Amino acid sequence: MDGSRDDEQLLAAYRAGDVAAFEALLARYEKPIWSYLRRFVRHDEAAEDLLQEVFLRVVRDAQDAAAPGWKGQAKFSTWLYTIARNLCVDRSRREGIRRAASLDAASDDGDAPVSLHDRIPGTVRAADAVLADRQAAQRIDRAIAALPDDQREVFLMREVMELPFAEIATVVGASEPTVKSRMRYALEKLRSALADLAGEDGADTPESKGAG
Amino acid sequence: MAADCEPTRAQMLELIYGELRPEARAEVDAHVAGCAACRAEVKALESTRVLARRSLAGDQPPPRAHAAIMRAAAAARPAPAPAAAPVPKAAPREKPSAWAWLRGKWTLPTFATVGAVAVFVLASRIFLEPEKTYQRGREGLVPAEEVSAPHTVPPAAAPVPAPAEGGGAASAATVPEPPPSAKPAGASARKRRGAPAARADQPAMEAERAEAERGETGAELLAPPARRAAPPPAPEFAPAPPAAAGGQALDRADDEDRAAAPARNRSFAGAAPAPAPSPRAKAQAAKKAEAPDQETFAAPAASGAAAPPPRSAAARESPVARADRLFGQARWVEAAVAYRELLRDDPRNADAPRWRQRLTACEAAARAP
Repeated sequence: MDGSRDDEQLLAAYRAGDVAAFEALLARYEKPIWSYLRRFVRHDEAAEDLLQEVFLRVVRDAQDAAAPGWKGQAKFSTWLYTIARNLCVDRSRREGIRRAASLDAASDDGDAPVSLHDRIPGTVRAADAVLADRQAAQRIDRAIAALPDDQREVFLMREVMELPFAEIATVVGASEPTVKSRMRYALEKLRSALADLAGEDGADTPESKGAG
Repeated sequence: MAADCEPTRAQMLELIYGELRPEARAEVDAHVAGCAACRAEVKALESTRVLARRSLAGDQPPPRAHAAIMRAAAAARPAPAPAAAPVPKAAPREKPSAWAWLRGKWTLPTFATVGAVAVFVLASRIFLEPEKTYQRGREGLVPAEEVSAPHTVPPAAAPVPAPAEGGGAASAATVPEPPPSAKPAGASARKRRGAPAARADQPAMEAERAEAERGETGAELLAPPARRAAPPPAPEFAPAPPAAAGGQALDRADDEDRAAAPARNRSFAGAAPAPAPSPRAKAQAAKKAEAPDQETFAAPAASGAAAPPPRSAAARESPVARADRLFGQARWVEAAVAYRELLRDDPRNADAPRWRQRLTACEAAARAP
């Protein structure tokens, strides 16, 4: 991890030929962008292509100073997330798959071990398997995938990319109140979809909402 | 929901995402502390967030995509690869190589183009200013009249019996040898000194003409104008320009011009490699960028030299790696301690959000039954 240098310094280093700096940038952003992409397009192969495309744009931008890319006028992360978001939107328009099958549609019968969640590699997945049982994880995935696009993208930007609402508004091209409203709807939908799971922790129930 | 809950509910998102302005924070906190319903609301939303984040945390980018991106990044490294220059330098001396072929291929068209431009300039001088040309011919180009042809004998004509128009490379080779003695006797020397005052203000033009005259007679002459015309921006390649230069200076310049020719040829050749590898590298990069071949990218080892993979460096375990390992092993309490330490030691680290996120997950997991 190259935590000592900020994004802009890393990009400058890569422009000077330091490939390790690029890898540090990649390591910093590939996970949130991957998560955003696969949850947005709900298709892992397509998300993988888009992931490559996002970072290849960074490569191309670094190669060609005259390219219409990041020029330091905004945060690098905002620029990067905007690329990811635009690619998603373009793809959705092109493919017309905004209402495609959800992530785990194929495993609804419960016996197929092909859930995307199951295919997530690495130790964190193993950790997840301990954290929550498989059924619960699938339900959460489905609940996120079932959110309307505009709410899902705001939710993912906030939770995965950890962008503040004002920055999300910039990336999505909407006002901040609109973004917050979408976020609120998204949370409410997830909450009602996962109420019983959340209830394990002693969270509120719909009844308790009216008690104030 | 009671009416006095409304301001708090309106700021619930900001509250749970930590975006509440400090001045509003105290008020909201005070209300939540005293309102069970709002407390429950906050808890419910936070529980939902925890569940969702738990799911999202499992998303791991495919290693194949990582490798593909790194290969493309290494292949398209913006700075020119330093290894590219020495290779073509060493090659030409050994045997005819791809580089020699490339150079041969580019040299001739370049010289031909520059030669054509020189001929055009000369022609425009002659035909657009016929009177001047005629007058100069009367004043200084007597030998040219004697020869009665536009092919004025170059300086080399004196020492060596002029090989006329078919002289080719042989005459060029003999030129540098006798310049000092030959020059004064040579036609060009005479013609230059014939009218020094009249043309002192036009040395460049005269040099151009003299060289163009030399350049008229054939294949050999393709090279000098090319060398001359190509480098004008570079001072060392433009011997004639100084305005103060009289005839002798021009002669000296001529000599230097000829003497420097092989060196210049070399330097020209040496300069050529720079642009050559660049398009190739660009083409490769563009190819990769356009069609990231996942099959070929599947083997990440190829880019290993240029891109040290930090994630595989598990041998010397850093605090971050340790925390990640503990997290991966589901040792929640230890992982939480590790992440807490990381956050305490380096709270501004770019990775801090991730640590914080995992710390939250660890704590939740540790609390879970």
